[in-house]
Amino acid sequence: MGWEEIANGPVIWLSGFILGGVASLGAFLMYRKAKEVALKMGWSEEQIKEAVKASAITVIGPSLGISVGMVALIIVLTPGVAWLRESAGIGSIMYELITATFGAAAVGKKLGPELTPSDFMVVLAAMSVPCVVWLIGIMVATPGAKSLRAKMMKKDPKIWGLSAVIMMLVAFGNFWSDYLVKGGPSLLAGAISFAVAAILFEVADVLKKPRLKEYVITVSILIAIFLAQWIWSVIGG
Amino acid sequence: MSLSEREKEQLLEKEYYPYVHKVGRVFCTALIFCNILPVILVGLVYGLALDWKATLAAWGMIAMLLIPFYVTEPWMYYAVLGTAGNYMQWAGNTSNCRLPCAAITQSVMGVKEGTPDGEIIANIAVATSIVVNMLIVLAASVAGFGLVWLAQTYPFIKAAFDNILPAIFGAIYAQFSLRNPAYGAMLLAIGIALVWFGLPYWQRLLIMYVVGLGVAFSVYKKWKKTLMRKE
Repeated sequence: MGWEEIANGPVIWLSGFILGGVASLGAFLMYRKAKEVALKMGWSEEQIKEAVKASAITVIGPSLGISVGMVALIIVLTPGVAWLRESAGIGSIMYELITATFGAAAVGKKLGPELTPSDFMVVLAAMSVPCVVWLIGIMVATPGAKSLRAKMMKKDPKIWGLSAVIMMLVAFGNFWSDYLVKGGPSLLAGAISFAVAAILFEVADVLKKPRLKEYVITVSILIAIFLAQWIWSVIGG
Repeated sequence: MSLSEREKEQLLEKEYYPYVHKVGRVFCTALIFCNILPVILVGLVYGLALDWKATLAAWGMIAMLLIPFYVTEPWMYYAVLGTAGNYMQWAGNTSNCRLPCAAITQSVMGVKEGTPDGEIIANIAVATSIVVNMLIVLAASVAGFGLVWLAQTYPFIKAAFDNILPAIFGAIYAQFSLRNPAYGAMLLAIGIALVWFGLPYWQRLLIMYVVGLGVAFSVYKKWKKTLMRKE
């Protein structure tokens, strides 16, 4: 039996369903409690449905990106492994490709047909097990962050709002800067997406129609990626 | 009937947070086992033994590269994700999926991060994003090699989707920099300069946190101004 048959076999597919199923069950329990408390806080059923809808629409664009990005994982590691790792497997496509490549490198090979079933075990362990550190980190960090928030909110509520915005600007500024310096279609896509999103957010505020914001991320990224690629193919590619 | 902020906070402390911490810990622990499970199952079902020497070498290489992410990411999105949302990072794809959903949904519903309403809306948004995202990924996996055919037949589509991460980051940056354009411009300029100088990810992150929070707190302390365009 070749490694591809194992990688796209029932064990890997079943493991993906278990992983995704457990993550979804946990998400459902969190949602159910949030809904119960939201109703006691004065939110209506319609408002909760609106929140669900806003999130469901927003996630379409990023999910399409993950799905298309999965092509690389499907080609090098089969659809079974792509499902296992992206159902709720912690990592982004890039993370999974890096860890898989390190796994293959550790047995002195490259991802692809030259792997043996034993090599695939190493690749699988390299992709799956490091997530444990991440999950422990979440368990440790969350209660501590909550205590910090409580202290800051007690001292001055404005400080928390300011800190939240600064922390997001730092995180995303750091990620985005890599692509801006890289140039090419990445630079164009980021810049176009920034401009389209900024305009749409402002339009939603000016028109006093906050629900328009549900579509901003998906619309901005779809316009940006295709327009950037088209411009790049005309002027640069 | 709507409760005051104080009453909402008390409600969360009494009925919500104990449950969220319990579910968070239980499911993070369960997912640790679920992540290890495929390695064990493949070994048992197909009679394969793990090459520990090679595996440890792979983990060592991964640790060197990813430890900065493991140390920073579990807490850096807490301000927007809230307590339940932070635990639900167990499903991964935080920066490109969970956070945009939480931030946009909070904005649509007109609530602020850090407040009881912000916590509840982020919880609903992140939970919804996990289920919807998983269904789309399942469809893509089942489509499998059909998706590969599509990408190979229409390389323009594949090339366009290769740009999706900068597009997501640009759109999210727009949302937060519209709330505070001054710090948005300052931090992006610093980020670009640090990449230009070739600093690694974790050093850039540290410098940007120290400068960003340091400047913002100093300005607020001295002039009582947050420079926020939209609170």
